[in-house]
Amino acid sequence: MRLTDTLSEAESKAHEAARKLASIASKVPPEAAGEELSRKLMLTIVSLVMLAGRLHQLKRDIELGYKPGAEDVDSMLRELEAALLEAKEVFSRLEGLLP
Amino acid sequence: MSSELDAARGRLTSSLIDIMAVFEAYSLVRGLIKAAKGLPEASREEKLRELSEKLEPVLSSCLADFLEALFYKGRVSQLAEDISKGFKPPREEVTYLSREVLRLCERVEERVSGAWRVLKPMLREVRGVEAHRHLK
Repeated sequence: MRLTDTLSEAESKAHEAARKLASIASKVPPEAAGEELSRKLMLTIVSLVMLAGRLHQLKRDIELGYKPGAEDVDSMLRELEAALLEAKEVFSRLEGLLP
Repeated sequence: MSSELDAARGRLTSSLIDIMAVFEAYSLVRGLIKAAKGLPEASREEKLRELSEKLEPVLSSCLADFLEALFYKGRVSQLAEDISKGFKPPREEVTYLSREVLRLCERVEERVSGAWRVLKPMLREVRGVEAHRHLK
């Protein structure tokens, strides 16, 4: 798989996870989530969307001739994996609060 | 080129803060209406309904703008990072990104002003009712 395809796929995963979180959060009554979970939800969505932007731009820069270091790409993909794990945990907790 | 990207990043940060302030004010006004003992219950419910009707469509657009601003913040940060590592982007790429950011931030400014036009009078009204109640 080409690096740009890997980055596109990663960007889609980040968007999809953020969308799923926003969608389930809108179904949970705000007072049920509590301050800690609400903050975690907000931070996870922020991380995912910003990462999606970074992945999108890195792909664009590669298309424009940039050659990133392998360790830079790996570190960004690892960051995404961590954010996706966090998203999964927040999603399960929100799911448990659905009325 | 980096000053252009710094400016874009600064504008995005301001827009994000402005949107957060609207969400906080909305939640504050809701809380004040719910707790306003100077208003009869029917009147409180009417005010809450009015607040939702007037603001929820704006808040939903604000949320979409908030996510778009975060996405662009990620893009601008990444381009700045790649430039710092030796990438020389075509001039048009930086110009394009800066223009898109400016367009988004102008839209946010308009949207946020619209939200404040609804929120401020309601905030004044609820605070006025409560202040009057305390003076009695």
